[in-house]
Amino acid sequence: MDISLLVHEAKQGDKEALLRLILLRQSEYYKLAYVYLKNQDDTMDALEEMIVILYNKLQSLKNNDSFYSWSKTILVNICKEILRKRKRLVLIDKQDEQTFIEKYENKESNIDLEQCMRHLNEYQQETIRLRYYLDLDYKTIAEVTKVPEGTVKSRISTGLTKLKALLGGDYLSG
Amino acid sequence: MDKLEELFNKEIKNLDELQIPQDFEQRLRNSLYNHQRTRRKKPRFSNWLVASLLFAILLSSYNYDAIAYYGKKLLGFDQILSGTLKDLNKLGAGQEIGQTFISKNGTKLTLDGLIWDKNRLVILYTMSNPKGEDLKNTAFRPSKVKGLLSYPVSSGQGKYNDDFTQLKGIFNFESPSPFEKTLKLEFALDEQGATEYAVFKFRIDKSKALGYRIKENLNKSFNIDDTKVKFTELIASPTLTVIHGKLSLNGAANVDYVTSPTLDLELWADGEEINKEGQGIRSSITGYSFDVSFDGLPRNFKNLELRLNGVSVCERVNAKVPLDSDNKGKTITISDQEIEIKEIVVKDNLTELTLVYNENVSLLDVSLETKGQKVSLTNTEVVNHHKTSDGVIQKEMLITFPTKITKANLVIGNISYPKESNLVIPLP
Repeated sequence: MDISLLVHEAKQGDKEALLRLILLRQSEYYKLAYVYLKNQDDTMDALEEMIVILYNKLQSLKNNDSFYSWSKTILVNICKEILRKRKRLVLIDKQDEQTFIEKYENKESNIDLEQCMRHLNEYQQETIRLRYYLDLDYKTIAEVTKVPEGTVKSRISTGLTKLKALLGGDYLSG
Repeated sequence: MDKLEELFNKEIKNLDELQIPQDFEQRLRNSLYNHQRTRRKKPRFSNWLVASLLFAILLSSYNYDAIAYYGKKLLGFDQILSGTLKDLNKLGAGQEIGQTFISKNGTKLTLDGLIWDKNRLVILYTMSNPKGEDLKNTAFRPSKVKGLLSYPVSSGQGKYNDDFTQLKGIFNFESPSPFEKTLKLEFALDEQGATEYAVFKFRIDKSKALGYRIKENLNKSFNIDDTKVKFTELIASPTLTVIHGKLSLNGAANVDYVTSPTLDLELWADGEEINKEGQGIRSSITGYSFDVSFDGLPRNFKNLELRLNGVSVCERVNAKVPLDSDNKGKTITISDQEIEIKEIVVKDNLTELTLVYNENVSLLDVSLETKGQKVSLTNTEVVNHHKTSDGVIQKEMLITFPTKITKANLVIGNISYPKESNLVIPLP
């Protein structure tokens, strides 16, 4: 699908074109926001905010072909803003954090992994989630998190080393 | 497979199994169409205004039946049209277009007809693939209708048949100026990863358009406590009824602004409620002006009444609340509105106060009183919204004061909250 035409139309003011661009990759957007926010309500809020910002900011996109990584960067910023505001709420009561994280229905809970992830710093966590949960390539991760590819790779390798150490014993090296 | 890989795979599986909500598209569409701030161009048609006034004078007779409906009934759209639009179509208020475009892939797109109303232009279309392929990945995207001027698309909806081989739908556009005779519909058709662009050209007939039916000056004012609600006029077109008015919250002098005052208005005809379509409140120097839209009025009715169920009132309270560790986590009550003091964070040179209260309550003229001095706030922001167990929406507000406090009183000057009213206003 040639998205640069759709982007061009959206820049002219065609809202349906913008919607179509998002809908073409809706599950990517949804999962990306979900990985940060961990519940459906906040994810939808973030996406609703994103589409409005995209529409208003489209003129600043120079290369139409970069629409997806550009819009995902905006989405990630919105998610981080929501998380920041959430943190203020959770100042006192650590227990409250649970209310934001949906219990996965019909899903096996991945407590082991989440507990280990908490030992990593937020950048390592973020980078590992983007790489291993969402299968994004280094270039996209670098764009979306606004750091050089080298930094992405080092965050991942440091993070993985820690995780493997925490999980102990049975892993194959490499 | 090592343990880490296993855990990652589990996570990937969990994410893949995530259900994207059914209303994903609708929510994004609503957000996009309703919240845009920049880009709205004011209609520049000054001769349109003159024409419409003349039109209104000509058509301001109350006699609904005098306006005969020419035109054809557009078949098959019963499920997509709603309310009065459906009735009007049944009465034959539509104009036929009957033009078809066939895409490279063989998809047939037909503009069946249109309904031209003072408030909007509705285009009815049918899309089908004669090869029997499903249309789930095909999209018909009209961008605008163009005549002497351009009229953008405002919204649309459609419905597939059971096996997704046919889609019938409508798109709403800004209503064209009465001077228009021929229109071009510019659109794009996406399918199989390619997009085709084309144009439909068709005539519109002003004599078959639906004009104003009733325009009435209401000029009725009511006071709820110190809030004055004035209904200025009612404008009814066959598919939409709009009540215009002004609102002023006079409870306290020097009220800067209440972010969005509550106005709960219902329209009833002959004992039945008319569906509300939307509402807008804008602030101006003298207060607020509002317009509330409802579905079109029924063909014949005897009684029409407005019911005001609630409106925001503003009260000068000058309440002093001591801020100390005893009060943290407690809920205070001002004017029957509960306000929870959720958190007090004191830093080196500022104090952050987090309060929780109902979504449609506003606190105004808030300051701190410490060591005999008054300190005004520097920032207020909404942290988030949430629903309580009773289904009430509350908001959490973070208020920042530029000073470090040890012992202080929170002074709330004014509070604005929605007040219930049972006002019933009969309209002639």
